Amino acid sequence: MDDAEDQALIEAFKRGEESAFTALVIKYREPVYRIARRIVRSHEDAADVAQEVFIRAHRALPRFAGRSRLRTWLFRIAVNLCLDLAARRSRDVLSGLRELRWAPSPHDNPVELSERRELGEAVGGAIDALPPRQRAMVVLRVYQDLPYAEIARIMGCAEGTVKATMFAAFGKLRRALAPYVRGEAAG
Amino acid sequence: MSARAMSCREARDVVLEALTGAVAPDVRLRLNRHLEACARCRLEAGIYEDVAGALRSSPEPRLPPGHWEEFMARLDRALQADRRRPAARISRWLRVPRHAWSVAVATAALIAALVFSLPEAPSPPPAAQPSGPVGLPVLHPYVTESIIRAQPAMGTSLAVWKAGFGATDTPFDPPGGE
Repeated sequence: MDDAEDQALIEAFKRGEESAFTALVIKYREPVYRIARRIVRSHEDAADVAQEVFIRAHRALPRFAGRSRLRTWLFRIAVNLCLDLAARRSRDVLSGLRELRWAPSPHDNPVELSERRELGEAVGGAIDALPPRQRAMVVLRVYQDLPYAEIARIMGCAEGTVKATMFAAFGKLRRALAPYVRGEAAG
Repeated sequence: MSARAMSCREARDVVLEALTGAVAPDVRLRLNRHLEACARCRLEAGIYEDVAGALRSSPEPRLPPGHWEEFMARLDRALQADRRRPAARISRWLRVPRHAWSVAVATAALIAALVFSLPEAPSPPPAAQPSGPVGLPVLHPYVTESIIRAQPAMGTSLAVWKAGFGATDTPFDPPGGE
């Protein structure tokens, strides 16, 4: 259903209908931005990445052969741009973390709020400490709910590599979040 | 029919995938059965489940108000600047199938016109025939009198060969033959 809709929009764009491209942007801008935001950490960088994703898509879409899903293709552009950016910038590891901190709601219980804020900070720190490729895979799996096969296509690697990388990443997350994990705290 | 039981190794292989998202229903069923029976794997799964839960509890980043309006306006400006590039204009024009076909037909017509309008190159003057021995077809200037004397039937053989072996009007009359 989703793929058929995407295909129809791509065909319309190839016929010269710019509004079809706008419809695709509206459909995918949010997940593209959220993936970028989790990987590159700052709002400005994530917004720049998302812009660049759609500029590149606009240029390349006429040649898009449909061998992969449009979503996979866009996420792949996004992840590659994020990894390039992460490689260029090793600056201020904590800058984005601060932006991802828990934003309180006026209805939150103060004790609960404090606990959630603490957990949120611990999680943010643990994700940020992962190498960029591991972070990208964790983001695609945990926050976008993508199957391993699709993550493999996005990351340009084998499904087995995704499995192994996820294990390595979760091993690190498990150690970093040990105080918040029941089995680990007890053991 | 009951599904094959899952080993601890298989369970370790799929537990993370099952805890962080979707897996095939039969795999999940087999994993659940294994976890019910294996305390060690159940403990591991519990830890990963807590890690995944902690990750999911991390808040979605909040967007500044008016972010998407500003995003679309900025993207529109960037795409308009991109559209002004000559390569982009040509590519966009060619994207229309009618234009692409017109260009293909025009190119083919141009090539055909060029091929037919080119003046035919003057043919080189015929090379001077080397003079061979009288009565023999000239095969090569290096076929000398001494070669012909050594092979007296060569001239007739060559005439038959040139006419084709199926030809009936070429007499084969080797000198010295019957």
